[in-house]
Amino acid sequence: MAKKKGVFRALLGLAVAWACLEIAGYSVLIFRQSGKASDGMEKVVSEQSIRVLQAKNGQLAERLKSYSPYSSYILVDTAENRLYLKQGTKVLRDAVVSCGSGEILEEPGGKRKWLFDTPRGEFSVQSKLVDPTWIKPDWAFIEEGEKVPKNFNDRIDEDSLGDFALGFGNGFFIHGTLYTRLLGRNVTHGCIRVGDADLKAIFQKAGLGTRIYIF
Amino acid sequence: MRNKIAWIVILLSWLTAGAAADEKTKALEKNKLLEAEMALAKTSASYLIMNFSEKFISLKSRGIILKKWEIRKARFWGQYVPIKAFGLFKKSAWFPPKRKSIVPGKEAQGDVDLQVLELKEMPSRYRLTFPDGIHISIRNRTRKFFPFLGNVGSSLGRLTLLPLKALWFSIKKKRFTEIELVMADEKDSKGLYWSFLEGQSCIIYRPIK
Repeated sequence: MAKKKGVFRALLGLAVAWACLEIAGYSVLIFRQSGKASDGMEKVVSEQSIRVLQAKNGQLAERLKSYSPYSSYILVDTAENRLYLKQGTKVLRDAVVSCGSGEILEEPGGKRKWLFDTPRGEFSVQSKLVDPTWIKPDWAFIEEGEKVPKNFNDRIDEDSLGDFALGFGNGFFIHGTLYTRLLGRNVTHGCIRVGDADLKAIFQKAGLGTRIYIF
Repeated sequence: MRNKIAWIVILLSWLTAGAAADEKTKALEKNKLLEAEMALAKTSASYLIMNFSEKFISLKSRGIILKKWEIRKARFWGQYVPIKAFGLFKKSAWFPPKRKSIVPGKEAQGDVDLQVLELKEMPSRYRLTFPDGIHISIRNRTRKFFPFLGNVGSSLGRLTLLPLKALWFSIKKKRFTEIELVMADEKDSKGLYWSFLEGQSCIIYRPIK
């Protein structure tokens, strides 16, 4: 009986201690939440007139606008597999594409490793090719379980890239595809595959230097 | 009569002074937001703005909005977040997406069931950790039973653990901010996970008034 009482008291003590900690924690939460002026904002407010601030804000907003491209630009949403050709806020073309699969390829023996992601960030059109030829890199052979050829001509593939290609650096292209049924899926080795009609329209509109934003 | 007029004058001046101060604070907050964004827009890197005033998260580059997600609901605990850029330190989820390996020689293009990393593989419930003790938990509204149960569980956990955490940070004299974000749907929370990369900058803008 005395043992049971002792256990009960210990549990009660723990519960009270826990409750005290919870109350202390909640009071910290409430107290800290009310500390609005902690970053010294209200001090600065009293020193600057509202009109000066509003004028400054207008100027900053204008300067911010000046960073965005004046001409048309390309947005690529790798999550949704969509490409948008835009001018300002107007969408000129909306295309379903295929982006990087995110898969990993390891060379048997483990010497080299490739990650098939579409690179993200700001790029620009660096080259425009009609009837592009793909010079197959080593991974294309390794992926198919073939030997990497020693003869350069064995790497030439004239069909895979479609009618046009827009290069945006490091061997990455926006190009056509034979696998149109896979448009809308993340299946590529990092390049952006586009259907024929959309590719033609994008190729015609995008000049060298056109900015590409991939996210 | 004179007393009444005096009271009215005092009340009016108090009200107008309050309104002017509010407007000043708003203008200053906007100024800080624009200054912080300007610094990010100068570089080629994309960045995020969590704008709790407009209830939107925007992924931007050079001032252009690349993508926008709606914030359905947000809850805050702890200190206000200063209006400046923070780099995302860590994304954590119970079931993070895993990259698949290609087996050489297996023709992937012919497969009906492609083993690729897509939006649907992303977690819809995860946590973002920033410097200065800022943590953001993300989830989405759901009517499905198990995710709903998960939401209830995490709310109960938060109710008990959050005060202890706040106390701990307070004893350690460190900043502490906990934000819970509820996105409109699963696709949005998954989309944010996909687009928000570790190391990427983010401005968290929560107006004071």
